[in-house]
Amino acid sequence: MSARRLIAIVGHMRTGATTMLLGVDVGGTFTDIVVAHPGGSVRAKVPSTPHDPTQGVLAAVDLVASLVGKDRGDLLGGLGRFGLGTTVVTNVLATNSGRRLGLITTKGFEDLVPLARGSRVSDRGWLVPPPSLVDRTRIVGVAERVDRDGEVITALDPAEAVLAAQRLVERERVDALVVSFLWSFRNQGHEHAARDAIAAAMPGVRVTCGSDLAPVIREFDRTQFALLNAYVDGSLDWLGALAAELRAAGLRTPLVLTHSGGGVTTVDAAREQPIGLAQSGPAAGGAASVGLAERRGAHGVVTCDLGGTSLDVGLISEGQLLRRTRGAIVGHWTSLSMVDVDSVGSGGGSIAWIDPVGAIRVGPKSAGAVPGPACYSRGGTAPTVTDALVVLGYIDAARFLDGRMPLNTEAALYSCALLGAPLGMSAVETAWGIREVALATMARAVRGRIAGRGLVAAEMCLLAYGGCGGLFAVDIAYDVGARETIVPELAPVFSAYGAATAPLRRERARSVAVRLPADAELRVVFAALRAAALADIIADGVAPNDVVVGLEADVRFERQGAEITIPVHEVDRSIAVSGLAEEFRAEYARRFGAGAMAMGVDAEAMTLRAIASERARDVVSLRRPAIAHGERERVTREVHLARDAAPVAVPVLMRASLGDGESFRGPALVDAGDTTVWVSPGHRAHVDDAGSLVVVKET
Amino acid sequence: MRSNDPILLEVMRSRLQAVVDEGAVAIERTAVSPIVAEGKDFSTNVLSATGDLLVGGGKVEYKWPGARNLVRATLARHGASIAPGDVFAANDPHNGGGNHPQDIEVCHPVHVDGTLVAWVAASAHVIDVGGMTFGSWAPDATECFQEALRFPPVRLFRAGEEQHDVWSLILNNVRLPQLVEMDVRGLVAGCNVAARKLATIVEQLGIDEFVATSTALCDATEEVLRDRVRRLAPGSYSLDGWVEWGDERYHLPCTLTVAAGELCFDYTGAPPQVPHFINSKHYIVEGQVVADVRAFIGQDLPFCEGLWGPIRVICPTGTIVDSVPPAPIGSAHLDVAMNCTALAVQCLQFALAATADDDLPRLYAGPSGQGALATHSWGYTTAAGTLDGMVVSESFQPGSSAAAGHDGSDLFANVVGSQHILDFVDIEILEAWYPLHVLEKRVADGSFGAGAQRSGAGCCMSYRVIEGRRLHGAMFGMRETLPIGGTAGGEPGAPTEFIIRRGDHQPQVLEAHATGVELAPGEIFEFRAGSGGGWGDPLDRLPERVRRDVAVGRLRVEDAAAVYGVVVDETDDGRLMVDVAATTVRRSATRAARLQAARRPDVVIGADVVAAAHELGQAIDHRPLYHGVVQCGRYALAEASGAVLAVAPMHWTSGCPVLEADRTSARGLAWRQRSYLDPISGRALYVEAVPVAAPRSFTTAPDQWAQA
Repeated sequence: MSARRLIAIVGHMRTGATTMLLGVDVGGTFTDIVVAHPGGSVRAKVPSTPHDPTQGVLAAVDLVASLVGKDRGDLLGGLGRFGLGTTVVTNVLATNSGRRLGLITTKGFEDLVPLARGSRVSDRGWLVPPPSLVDRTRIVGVAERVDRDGEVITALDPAEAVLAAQRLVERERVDALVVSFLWSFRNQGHEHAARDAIAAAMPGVRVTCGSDLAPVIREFDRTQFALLNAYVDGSLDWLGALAAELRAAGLRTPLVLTHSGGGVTTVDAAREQPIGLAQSGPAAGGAASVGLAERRGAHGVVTCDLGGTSLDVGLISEGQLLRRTRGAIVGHWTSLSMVDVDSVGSGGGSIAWIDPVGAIRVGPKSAGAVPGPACYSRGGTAPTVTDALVVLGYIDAARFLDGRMPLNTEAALYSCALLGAPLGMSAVETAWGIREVALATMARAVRGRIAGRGLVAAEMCLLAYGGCGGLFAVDIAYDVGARETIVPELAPVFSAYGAATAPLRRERARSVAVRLPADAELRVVFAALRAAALADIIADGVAPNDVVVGLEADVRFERQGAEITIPVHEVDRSIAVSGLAEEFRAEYARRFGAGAMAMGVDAEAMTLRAIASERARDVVSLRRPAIAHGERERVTREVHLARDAAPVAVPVLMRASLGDGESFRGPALVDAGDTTVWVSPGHRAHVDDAGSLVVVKET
Repeated sequence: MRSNDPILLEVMRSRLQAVVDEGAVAIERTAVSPIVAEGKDFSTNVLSATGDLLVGGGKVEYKWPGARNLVRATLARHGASIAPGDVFAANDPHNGGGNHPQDIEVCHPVHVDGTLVAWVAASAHVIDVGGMTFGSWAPDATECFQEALRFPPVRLFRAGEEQHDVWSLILNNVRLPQLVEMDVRGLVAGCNVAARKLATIVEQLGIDEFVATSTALCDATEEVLRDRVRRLAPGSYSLDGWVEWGDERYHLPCTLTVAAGELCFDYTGAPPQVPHFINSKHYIVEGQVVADVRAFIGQDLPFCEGLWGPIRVICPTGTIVDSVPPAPIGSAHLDVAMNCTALAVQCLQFALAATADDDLPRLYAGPSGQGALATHSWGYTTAAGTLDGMVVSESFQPGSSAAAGHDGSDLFANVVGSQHILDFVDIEILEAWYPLHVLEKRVADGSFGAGAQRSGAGCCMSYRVIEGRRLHGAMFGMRETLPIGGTAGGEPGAPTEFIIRRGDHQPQVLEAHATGVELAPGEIFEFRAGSGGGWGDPLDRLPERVRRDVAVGRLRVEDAAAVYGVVVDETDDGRLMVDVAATTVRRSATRAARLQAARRPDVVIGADVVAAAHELGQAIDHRPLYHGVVQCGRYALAEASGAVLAVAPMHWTSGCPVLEADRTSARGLAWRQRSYLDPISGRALYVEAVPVAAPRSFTTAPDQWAQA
């Protein structure tokens, strides 16, 4: 975004009010920043500084400060929120650069972690186990056993655990230890005894216990959680320095961080459990989506974050961001409450190829930023989705990124021509095919997500963000039959916007694994979880009156593989658990049909959870007046809409020139400098009062 | 628009995949039995109006061909009466069913504008379908009538209307009817979801375009696979197998003929059907062979009807490979069928090893370890007095064969493929569900499957029955004596073992096929699933890898020395080190000792032949004949040493010294490990596991050799 336009936007800001919010998203390549304010917003992008992320953050802060005509101190002093999301934790996992771990576990079960629950991944036709966080040579079993009721069957000799720890530290040179035993979520005695004995014998060695971090049933998930956390331990230590620096420079509100569950948390809490930030980026985008959906009164939303390498699809139902309690983080399966986002390898940089049966395929291989699409002229030669969009005319090659990075149309054409030649197809026809195939892949992912949750597409809005989101959103929505498409004003920096606006959130969970009804036990556990989550969030600095606590239970039919999360309400300060089984049956029938349900099978509650969150903030208005209509450029772009017909002159509108409520019909392209929205023929678009472009099918 | 349009082809493939994926999601989320819900033993498929497979979903590829059988049988039985809203189910392998009666197959016709345009089908392994034993695996059954309730394609729904009579008839005859009902309803839900989506797709495309494009997809697949088959060295490749039943062994020969763009697997010579549940069916054997051929030379091809084109499987009717009623068939996809497909894979590997074409995509590996499952089931009465039971899913966790450049996979049958199959059930979930207390679950230790690349290890597990419960079980393990063979000089894998430890804790070894097994409170049951074989001579394994296997407790120091020739020492501070010098000495001594102990070759190669071969060897290029063996004109040479092994057309092993070692299984049954050695270096070129009196079990005769 050019400085000229940024300042033009800033001109409409009423600066100085205390509701100004700042969000930063520290990615692997770029650090995005946004300052949101009732009068408008400013956004910017600076290169990330992976060796010391603080530098990149401060540079971004200084840049936006200068754009609003302030210095660092003035800007920070006026902020009501400094929120930060980061992929640093994910990068540690992706680059295998975490700690060297040792695991002490129940004797007889040492092989289970490397066996990865039988999961295998395909590597050029070979099936191999996913990478293990801890090598089998660094896993030691000790004699101990607790049974399903928490009774000790074989007592632990703490000295044996100490011996194992010494062996791991001295001989295997591990620098962090995890202790994880069977059934420890029922009885923590052995894990704590081992931890304490090791700590006493070997001060300075960091030891964590599975049951402390994730007291849930399933030893593999629980152990993996402890291993993951230990593996990325220390990767957020720079946040302490950043917080101090910001405080010294005038920030009067605590630095908060977006975590995987879709809320924000404090620096101390994040450093204690860094793995909680593994899905920080998607979670921040999800949190921002929730705010926007609420403002539009949209109850069911499918979110599509379309970037360079992947499409991340999430869901909002009944105004709630859907989360999952188990899943894979960079290929490592575990239990972690996280935003339920599925990724498919189909983005702007995805490479097109021809498979053996002669069909065009797109992805999952991506050209990334380097060498990038052919049109980037950075050495990439394979045709990507971006190249196809350039060839077809959807992207204005000359004015890409506000003209700062003109694209090479010739290179894009050549790459498509080369791919299509053996199939007897022209460059344009090939490009058309690449777009169609990419669209089919994306629509399949979106359909799959909606179906997987038993939701109805026709009742849902599709909310698109990320660099390429606007170019496919309307067509995906049409394909899956969604009600409308929303492309927010801040789509290119939506995760940073989420960091600025997401509420503070704390969560406590515990497995119970009881057959329903079990009202007394559920009430006791819920009460304890509720108290703990409340204490957590108050310790984070939220006033008790501003806290909302939600309770939920993961319920399933006995022996079923997947649980359904059922909210549990509080009526007159009493936890209403007696109707849990019935509510579960109703929800089950709603999702899968009453015909899928046999009577007489008992329901069981697996895990209970309490979530304390800040009362929702006032949604920031992004309204701003339009540039007078008379100043508008009247331009068109030639776009190949049909496979074998001549290109059509499509009107091009500048995003900045569109005022609130303004409405127009497709076909149209809306350019915003760093992103473009495609409005297909047969659709009508308008700008809503949050500045979002809303597109619906014309009836 | 042409029907094989590169864009439409992929858009449609992607949409069909979405259809089966959505169906699979619906089943996964609604089914309840652990085999389906946690074990993911289910599938979904889309088929053409005539029952050609278009796409498959779910984890178990071996299940997909069953859908073809079901739809074809449904069409044959119900023909013109098939109407929109009908849902059919079958479970009888003799009459339209799937892999065995426990697999309930459901199919749903898809009509557009009143025309039948396609089918969707789904299948799952349900917990019980009646018969003599819990779980319907009845080793004692001598006829299919005793094994299970069997039904041909019948309507669960007629024009959308639930057929209560049919449901009641089925559920009245099974144990745990509630679980079975929910699983079958899960299948129906999956079919409903998939059928709805598919109808929309066909409506959008138009019927003609849908048919043309789906046909083109299958045709293009067939064409590519046929082209690959044409690249294979034509000729004849054969291997003998044996199916075990107690002390009996049924000889099972397989011959692969590669000719004219076709792979023909012929099981002629298989014995007549037997009064045990191991009998199989032609479509089951064929389906597994097709899936395995794809895994080794066509993983990049869609799993559709086109794969069947270049593959022919001959199974004579009335034999164990294609039985007819009253043959019991409770294990129709396991003992015989798994043996058939393992033989087919090994024959295909012989052909690949003799193929020089570098452009042929191929994976070199031994057969699946699925032939060495330690399957067993238990039934019991719960504290509440109701009947319950389980098939122990850990018993489906054998070790895989090794592959060129890859050790085998532990507790996982396959080393090639595109997705994993069965998720493990966590120990805590297992103990929460069943009256078992697990004492250990780990990789089996031992020197089985030794090789330059070793096999994976099967699951070694033991558990105790908790107080107050009593279990009644059936064992149906495979490979209790004769293990799966190795490749390229690798050694045979591990056998399957079942052991009970009662009050005195003395091990009592069970037969692999046993029924009426009783387990009282406090008694301990132990099993070891078997494994595939190794790859390459164990004396060629990297010593560091051997050291690591010792360090993690899967190999004893003595076995490292005896089997791998690697000398591992423990240092004063407890570290394990390879003694490099001692290892070199030990390995060459072992090779020399092998030649000393070996039987002399069948044919003595004269010095004049050696001279002629070497002279020719200088002049012309070598062609591969087997791993480590090359053909040079009429001569077969050991690649590394240059030793002359044979003169065409005699088999290439004719000049190999033969080392034989007699082994006994845990139950005391004898078998023989026979190694064909390089006469100069003593390196093992091929190692087979055979009954004591059996002759050489394999023949590799590419035309280029037979006609040289």
